Amino acid sequence: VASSASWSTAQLAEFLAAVSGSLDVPAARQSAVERAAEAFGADVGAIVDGGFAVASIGFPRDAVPHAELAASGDLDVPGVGACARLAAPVDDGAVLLVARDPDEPFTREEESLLRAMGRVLSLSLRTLGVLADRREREALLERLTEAQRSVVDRSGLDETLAAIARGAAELVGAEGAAVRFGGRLAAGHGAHHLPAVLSVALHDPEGIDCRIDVAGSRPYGESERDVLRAFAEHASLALANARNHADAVHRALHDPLTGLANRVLFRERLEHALERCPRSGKEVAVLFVDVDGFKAVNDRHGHALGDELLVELAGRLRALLRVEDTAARLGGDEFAVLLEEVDDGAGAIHVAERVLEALQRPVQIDGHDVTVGASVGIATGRRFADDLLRNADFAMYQAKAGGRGRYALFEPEMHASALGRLSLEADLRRAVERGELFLHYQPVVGVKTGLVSGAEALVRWRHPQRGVVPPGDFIPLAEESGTIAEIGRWVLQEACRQGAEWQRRWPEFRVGVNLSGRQLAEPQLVADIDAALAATGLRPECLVLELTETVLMRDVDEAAARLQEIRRRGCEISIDDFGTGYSSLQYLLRFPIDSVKVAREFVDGLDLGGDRATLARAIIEFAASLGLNTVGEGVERPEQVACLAALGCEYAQGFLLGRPVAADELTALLEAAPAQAA
Amino acid sequence: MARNFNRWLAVGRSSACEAGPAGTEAARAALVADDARLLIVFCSHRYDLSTLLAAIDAESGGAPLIGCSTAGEIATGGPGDAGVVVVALGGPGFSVRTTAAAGVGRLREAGAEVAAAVAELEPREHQALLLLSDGLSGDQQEIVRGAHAVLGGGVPLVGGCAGDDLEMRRTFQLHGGQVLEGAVVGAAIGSDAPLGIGVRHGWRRTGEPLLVTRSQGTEVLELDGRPALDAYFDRLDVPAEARDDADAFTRYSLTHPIGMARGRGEHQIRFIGGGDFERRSLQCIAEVPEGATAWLMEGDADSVLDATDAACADALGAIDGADPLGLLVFDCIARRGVLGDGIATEVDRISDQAQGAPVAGFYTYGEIARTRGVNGFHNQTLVVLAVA
Repeated sequence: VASSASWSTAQLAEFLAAVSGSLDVPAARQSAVERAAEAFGADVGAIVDGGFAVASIGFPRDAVPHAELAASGDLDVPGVGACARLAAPVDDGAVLLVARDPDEPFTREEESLLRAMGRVLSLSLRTLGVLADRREREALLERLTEAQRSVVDRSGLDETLAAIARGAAELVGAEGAAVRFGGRLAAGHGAHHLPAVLSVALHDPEGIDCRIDVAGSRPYGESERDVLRAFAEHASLALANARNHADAVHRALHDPLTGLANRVLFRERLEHALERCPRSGKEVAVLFVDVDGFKAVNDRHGHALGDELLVELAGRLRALLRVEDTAARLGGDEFAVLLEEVDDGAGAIHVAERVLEALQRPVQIDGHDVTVGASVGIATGRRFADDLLRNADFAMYQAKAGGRGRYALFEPEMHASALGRLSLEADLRRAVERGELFLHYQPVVGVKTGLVSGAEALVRWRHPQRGVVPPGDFIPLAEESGTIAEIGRWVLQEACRQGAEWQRRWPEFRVGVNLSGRQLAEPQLVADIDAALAATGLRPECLVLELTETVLMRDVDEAAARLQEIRRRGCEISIDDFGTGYSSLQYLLRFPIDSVKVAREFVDGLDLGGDRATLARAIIEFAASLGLNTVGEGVERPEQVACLAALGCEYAQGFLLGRPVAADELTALLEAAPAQAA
Repeated sequence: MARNFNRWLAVGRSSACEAGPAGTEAARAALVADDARLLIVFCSHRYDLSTLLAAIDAESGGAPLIGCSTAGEIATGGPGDAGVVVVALGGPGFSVRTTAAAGVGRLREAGAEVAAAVAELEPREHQALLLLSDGLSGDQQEIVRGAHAVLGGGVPLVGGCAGDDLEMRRTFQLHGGQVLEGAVVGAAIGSDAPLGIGVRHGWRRTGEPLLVTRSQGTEVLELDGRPALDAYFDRLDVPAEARDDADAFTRYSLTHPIGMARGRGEHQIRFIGGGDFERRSLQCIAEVPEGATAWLMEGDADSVLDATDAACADALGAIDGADPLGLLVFDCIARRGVLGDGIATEVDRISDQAQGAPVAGFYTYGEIARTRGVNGFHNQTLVVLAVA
C-alpha cells in the first residue's frame, strides 16, 4: 500500500485537517489518535503525557491501561494480543503512539509519517484557540497542501525542492529560502543568497545532510521555528516520495524499448507547448515519422534485430533535436517529434529533411547492413493538440502516397485563422474610439438586508459584424496585444461616470472596476484614477478596485506600493476570486486590502458541506479576523445565501441575486426598491 | 437448525405476501425450542412491518429482536426477494442485550450508545456486537468509531446497512416491536463459544494509483487533477456504449469500483453507482475523501466467488475448529449485481462451507466488520459471522 505516490503526504494532510479542525485540546487529541490509528491500520492509538494516557483508542473506555501505555516495549491489548509500538514526540515529553500486530513491522516511511504527525499535533495543540495562531495553522495547511500537490502532479525532484524552498519562505514571510544538500544549494527561492537566519533539518531518506535555510534580514522567534519544523517534516515526506517515484513516473511515461517519450508524455508535452504559444508568439510543429521497410526487416531478420534497429533509429532521432524538443515512439515503427517555438513551416521542414537523412543512413547490426527509410508528415499550429496530431498523421499519409523518403506539410486553413485573429486584434484596437465597448453591471447585494449596495462593472464588446464578442474571447487578446491598457482606462472612466450618476440618487452606491495586471504595472494608473474621479465627481470611497491574487503576485513590491497610493485616495481595494490563487495568506497581508471576494468554487459547495465548505468558512473567518469585508461570488441557490449570512459574510453576488445588466436596467431595479443602497 | 448441549441456532423463512402470515411462518420455523435469546429479522421493506413484528412476537413470546429491511434476503435454500428470514439464537450458552439509537446527524454517539449494551451482558467468554444501520444516513464509519471508542479492540463489530430493494429512498431498522428509520440497532452477544468473523471483497487492483484531487462527499470530481470520468475512461478499457449511456456505464462500473488505500489493510472498496457525463464525475455510494489514494479495481464472477470462499474460511478459521451452529452473512448488493443469476451459486457455496449448518443473511448497502484496527466499514464485500 505504501507504494502509492503520496500515501504518507495524503495521510498527513488528512491528519492535519482533522486536528486543526478541532475546537479544543481534548477534541484535537482524540481526533489525532483516531486518525493516526486509522492511517497505520493500528489496533491502538494514544497520546501519553506524564505517565498518563490523555487520549487513546483501542481499549474499553473504562479500562485504559495508563501504566502499560507509558511503558515501552510490546503492548498487550486485551482481545487482540501483543502489539508492536511506534512512538513519536509531541511536546515536552508527551508522545503520540500507535501499536499493531508485530507481524507487520513499521516501515521507515511510517516512522517519518508518525514523527510528522507528532510535530503537526504539537503545533496545533500549542496554537489552538489563539487568533494569530489560527492564521498560522491555515497558512501551514495551505503550504502543506501545496507541497502535496507538487507530488500529486508527479513533479520531478527539482520541482519538489523548488516548492519546498518557496513554501518555507512564504510560510514565515521571509525574503528567500534555500534547500541545501551536503552544504550545496539544491533549490532557492527569492533572495536565498542573504544570510540564513533560521535553519531546520530535512530528513533525507538517503541520509544526506539536508536542510532548509530561511534567508533574510529580520530575526525569527521560537514559534516561527516550530512552524518551519512542522513544514520540514512534511517536506521530508514529499522529498522521499519524489525520489521513490521519479523512477515509476519515468517508466509510466517512456517507451521501455527506446527510452523515448511514449504517447502519453508526448501528448502532455504538446499540450504544454501549445499553452506557451500565446506568450512566445510562436508556433508548435508536430512531425509524424513512419519507418519505411521496417516490416520487411522484421520478417527477414527477426524481432530481436528489429528491436535493435528501432533503438538505433530512436538514438539518431534524439541526437538531431534541440533539448527542448521531444522525440516519442508512438508504437510499432511509428515515431513523432515535437518542435517547440518554431516560426513557421520552414523551420519544421528543415528538421524533417534532417530526419529523413538520418534515418536512411545504413544501420550496422549483428554484422548486417540494414537500410530503411522514413516518411514524415508535418503540421504546425498554436492550438488544439488533437487537430495537430490528426493533421500530422494525415500529412504523413500524403508523404507516403507521394513515394517513400518524403515529407509533406499539412496546409490547413491555418492562414485563414491567423488572418482572422489579426483582424480581430485590429478591430479591438479601434473598438474604444468607435464606441463599440459597453458596460454591464452585476449587482452586489447585502446578505442581511437583501438590498443592492453596489455593482461590479463588466466590459462587453459589440463587434459591428460579429455581434457581441464574449469577454473570454477578447480580453486575453487585449492582454496579449496591449490594448488592455486603453480598454481599462475607458472602463474606469465610464464606470466612474455611471457610478457618480447612481451616487447622486443613492449616496452610498459603490461601483467595482476590475484592474488588469498590465494596468497595475503602469505608473499612469494612479493619475487615471484621479482623472476619472475628478471628471465624474464620484466619491473615492465609492470606487472599489478589484484585483486577482495572480495580478498582485506578478510584482509584489510594485503592486504593494501602487495600491498604497490608491488607498490613500480613499478608494477600496478588493481581492477578486479569493482562494483560487496559490498565494500565501501571509503574503497577501503585505497589501492594503479592504475586502475579499470569495471565489465561486468555494461558495458553490457551501450548503453541501465537505472540504470546500470548510475552506469557505476558513476564508471568511480569516478575512473577518483581519477586519476585511467579504463578498460571496457566484451565488446560485438561496441556501448559499443563508450559509453566507450564518458565517457573517456581508455581501453576495451571483445569478440568484442578479445577472449582469445594462445601466438603465439596474437603475430601474434600484428605483423599484426606494430604500436601496442605504 | 443445529444445536449442542447449551446453544442452538435455527432459521425460518417465508415468502408469503401478507405480513402477518409471513411473520408467523418464518418465526415458527426458527423457534425450534422455547428458550430463544435473540431473534434477527431480515425482510422486504414492502411488508407492513409493524404487523410482521407483531406476528413474530406472538410466536416468540417477546424474545429480544433486532432486524432490518433489505435488498434481498438470504437463507440456506438460496437468495430471495420480497420475503422474510428469521434467525433465532437460543440456549443458556448465549447472553444477549439489544438496543436502538437514533442515528441521523449523530452516528458516532449512536454507535457509542449501542455499544454500551456490551457492558450489561451476562459475562461469557466470547463477545461481539451485531449492528444494523441505515446506510443512507451518512458516513457509517462514524458508527464504528463511536462503538470502538467505548469497547476498545477486544470486542469485534459485525453487521450491515439495511436496504430497500435498490430504491435508495428509505430503509427500516427493527427493535423489539418498533419500526425505526435512520436508526442504529444493536445486539450485544455473549457466548460460551467463539464468534468468528471474515470479510473479503474479491477485487484486484489495475494499473498505477490515482490521487483523488477533488471530491465532494460521495462525488469524485477529479482524479490526478483530471476530470474523474475521463481519467476512468483512459485507465480502463471501457466499452464504447458505456461512454455515453448512463445505464451501460453503471453496468460496467459495477464490476470496476474504486479501491482506496486506507491505512495498511485490505483496500476499502467504493462502488461507483453512476457517471455524470456533464460534470465528468463519478458518483459513489460512500464517501471518497479528497487526498485519498485510489486504485481502479476489477473483478468478475470468479473473483467474487473466490472471495466468498475466503470470507467463509476466515470466519470458520476464527472459531478454532469448532463446528458452526450457523453462518450469518452480510453480502453487498453490488456483488449480487456482478454475479447476476449466478448468485444462487454463491449461496450454495456458503452452504457447502457451513457443513450443513444453516445460513442466513441479507443483501446490504454497506457492511460492518471490525476485528483488528479501527477501520470497520466496508463496501462491496461479503462479511461472514460464524456462530459456534
